[in-house]
Amino acid sequence: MSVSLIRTLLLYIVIIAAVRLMGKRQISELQTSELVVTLLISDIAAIPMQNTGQPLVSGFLPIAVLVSCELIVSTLMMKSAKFRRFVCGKPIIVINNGKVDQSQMRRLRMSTEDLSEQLRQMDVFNLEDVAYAIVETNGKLSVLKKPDKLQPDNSMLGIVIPDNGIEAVIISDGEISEFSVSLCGLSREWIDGILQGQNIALEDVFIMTADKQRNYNIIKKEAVS
Amino acid sequence: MKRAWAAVAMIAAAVILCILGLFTTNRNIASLTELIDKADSAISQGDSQQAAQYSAEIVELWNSHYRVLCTYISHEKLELIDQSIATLQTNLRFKEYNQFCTELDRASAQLAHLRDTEMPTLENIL
Repeated sequence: MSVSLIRTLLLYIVIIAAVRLMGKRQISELQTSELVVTLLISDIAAIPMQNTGQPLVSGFLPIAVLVSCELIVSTLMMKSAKFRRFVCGKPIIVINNGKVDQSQMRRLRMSTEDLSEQLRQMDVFNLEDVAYAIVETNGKLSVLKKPDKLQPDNSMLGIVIPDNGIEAVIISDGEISEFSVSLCGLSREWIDGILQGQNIALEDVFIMTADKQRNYNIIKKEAVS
Repeated sequence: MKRAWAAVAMIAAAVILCILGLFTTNRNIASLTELIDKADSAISQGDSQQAAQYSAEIVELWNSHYRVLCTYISHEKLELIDQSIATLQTNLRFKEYNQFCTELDRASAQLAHLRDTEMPTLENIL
């Protein structure tokens, strides 16, 4: 049992390291190859976890090779558009200038129900509202509505909204984030001044957000009963 | 690009590890097989004392090789060989020479099988 425990901890560390090494691209929207690698890594890690008769290296080695291949392939995709098209394919326009392209849908083996479902998930309930619909390389549908169906934004309505810049979490659970502080152009002294003025200690802050205009919001930690 | 180079380095390290593992496996199996042949030859000539000495060496050598082999070979494969080698000295002690030869042959065949299955041949890959 203790062998299983230690192996699980070691494999957990290796998996975390592998996911970190593959980078944020892996954690966000996945391409097909990335999804396959992620699923494989979890399956491979499970084998030596459950079977202590298998050496740990039979888990580490395939994971290392898969991660390496994924990194090399993603680098090559970045450098070469041709290679990227070979691995990921290219986006396919299924609705072009308001007209459904049936040949492209057949090519994608996409039924009208599939198209309707994906449109509804994009809050489009009328096919007539769509100017362009593109199936991306990761399988998701991107939709551009016709101009008269688009929601107006502030610039269209002539409304000027003040720019407060980005709002970031500068204190989280009593700890100051130096990255967020510099992102908002703030200083430690300003934060101390605010906390002093509110009579709050740093360790009592659950969350404090602020923006470049020095608008802030503080939530204190709840007392533990 | 740094990650790409790290990936290349990882693959290179994996290849080197595999080559090292193959080399270690072949060398260890060769040394054990040589001793097994000597023990078989000794018992064939009726020299049970020499055979007993070789058996003790086989057991000692196997125990030292096992510590290394178990880090990259499935323990189930090694246990079969372990069981054959474990019976050698007992068979000699009770003068079960036929059984001793049988276990020697079994151990030799299992070691050859282990060596063959670890080689990156087409049969093993497919």
